[in-house]
Amino acid sequence: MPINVNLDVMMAKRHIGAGELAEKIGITPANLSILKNNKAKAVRFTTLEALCRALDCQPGDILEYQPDAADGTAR
Amino acid sequence: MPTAAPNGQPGGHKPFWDDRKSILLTRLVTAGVFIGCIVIALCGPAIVDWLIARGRIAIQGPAVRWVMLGLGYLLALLALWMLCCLYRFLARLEQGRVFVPANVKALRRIAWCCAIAAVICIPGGLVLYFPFACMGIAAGFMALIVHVIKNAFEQAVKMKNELDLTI
Repeated sequence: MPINVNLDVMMAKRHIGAGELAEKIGITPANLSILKNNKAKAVRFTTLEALCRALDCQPGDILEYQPDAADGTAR
Repeated sequence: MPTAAPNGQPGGHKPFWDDRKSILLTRLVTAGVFIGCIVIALCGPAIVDWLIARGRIAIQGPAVRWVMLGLGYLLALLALWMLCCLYRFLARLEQGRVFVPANVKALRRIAWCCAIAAVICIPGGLVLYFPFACMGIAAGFMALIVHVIKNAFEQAVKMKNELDLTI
């Protein structure tokens, strides 16, 4: 998947733990772990909004597009 | 004056018939048919002898009895295997495990059992005993329907997996 979730980086910058963040944005720690480990297939806008509010950041700070090696069509 | 329950039923009464009871009834019927299949398989030689004695078989000869018995037992094995798959499928539905890969596999097996039964019954019916052909056509039609349901379940499993990973 060429979309990377840099949640752990933002969490480290804001000195916030997984449990606390999960509680703040209203999702389970298990789901937060799926998101953090790049296992998620989609992110709801509501979740993204809650993450941005809790971490005081922009969606671009959390999500990053990296083209696949075979693809190589980053714009 | 009856009070309205949150589920919209007056007086908060649970409906007499619900999905769980429907699945339970289907499971009981499946188990009953399974036992019926075993009984018919045990009575197989007597049934074949009766059919031959009544002159219902289109072809006569000493080998006909064994061919009929062989086909009958093959169909009985398929039926028992299909009923096993169906029973386990219903058990999973009862547990609330609906869109899981095991159900897709069970439906695929059921469809194959019906298809093989159709392939055996239709020629057997045309040559030996006509009602076999009717059973074969019914089994073939059932195979097609179950195959379509299997495809729908397969699609639903994919969608559920994607939804489970949507945070």
